[in-house]
Amino acid sequence: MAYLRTGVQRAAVLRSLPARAAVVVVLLVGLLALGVWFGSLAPVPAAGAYLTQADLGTDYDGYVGERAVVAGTVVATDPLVLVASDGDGDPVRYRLVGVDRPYGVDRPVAQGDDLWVFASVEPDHTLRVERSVVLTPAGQGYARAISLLAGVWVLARVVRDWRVDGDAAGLVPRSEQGGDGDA
Amino acid sequence: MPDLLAHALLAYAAARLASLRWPWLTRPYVTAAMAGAFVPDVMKVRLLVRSHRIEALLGVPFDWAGLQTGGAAVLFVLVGAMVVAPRVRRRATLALALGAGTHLLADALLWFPSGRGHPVLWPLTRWNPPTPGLWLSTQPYWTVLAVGLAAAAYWAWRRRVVAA
Repeated sequence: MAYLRTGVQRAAVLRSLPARAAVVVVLLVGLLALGVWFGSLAPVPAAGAYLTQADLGTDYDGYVGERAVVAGTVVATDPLVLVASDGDGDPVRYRLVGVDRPYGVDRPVAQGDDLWVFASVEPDHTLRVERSVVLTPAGQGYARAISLLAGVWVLARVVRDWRVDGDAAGLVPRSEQGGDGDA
Repeated sequence: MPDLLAHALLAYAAARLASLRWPWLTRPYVTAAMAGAFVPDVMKVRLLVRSHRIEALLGVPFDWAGLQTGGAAVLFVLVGAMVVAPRVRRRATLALALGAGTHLLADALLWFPSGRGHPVLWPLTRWNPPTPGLWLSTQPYWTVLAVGLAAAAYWAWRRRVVAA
């Protein structure tokens, strides 16, 4: 903790707006760099970083025998066919075998379902599914709506609790008394 | 994919309970922690602009999933540290970090088909931790649980404030 305190205190020399803006730019470039770096990473199954559908798109036959995580939409049920995008956003069809009891629903997989699977890669674009989950439109719609609600709520709290201070050059709490009264 | 209301509520609960021990965590900082809880899911913007479009634009590989990691969370929290006034920087940074941290911890409980979660310690390690698979973001029960935890934290804090 002492390191953290002195480190942030030393960083307190970053008081001027231009210096802070420059740091923000550097940080944003750093975030972009992380995205680029992550995009270049090869799978490491031993660490749990399994193949993705983007990897399968580049060299399917080379990955036969390995396990992959794929997400897509069911376009047919007998035989079960999943359409998932590859690394370039183009659709790829996979035949799925072994989808017995997907997590998330009490019924068999139906056409139109969004399916997220963990499977072994077999020849001819066939995936032997070990575990799968059906993400229903209702479930996904719920998650999106409630996340939007959360965003609006927290934004409202931020606007209520913080203001821009011209002198201090930055966001400051509106009230810094100890008895903050409510939630 | 994750349910951000549950994440915001868990961050609220963590910050309100922490405020019992560290009274400087007043309402604005509880709010900052809740804002921090959104940070690891910034990559959800991939629903608008897919990774491959960015790759095509930049000519290099790119994956939004890299922003759902501890390393990216650190950078985002530091952006927040630069946005607040310097005199509140330490507290705001700690509050944002608390929120982002609770999000990453909650994600480590999620259900994944592979049984392995996001690489939360990347870029320190490629390790994707095994998760107990407790919840799916599309299931409302867990949001209800988060509401309960937030309410319990609020009442615990309220009792202490009233008693003081």
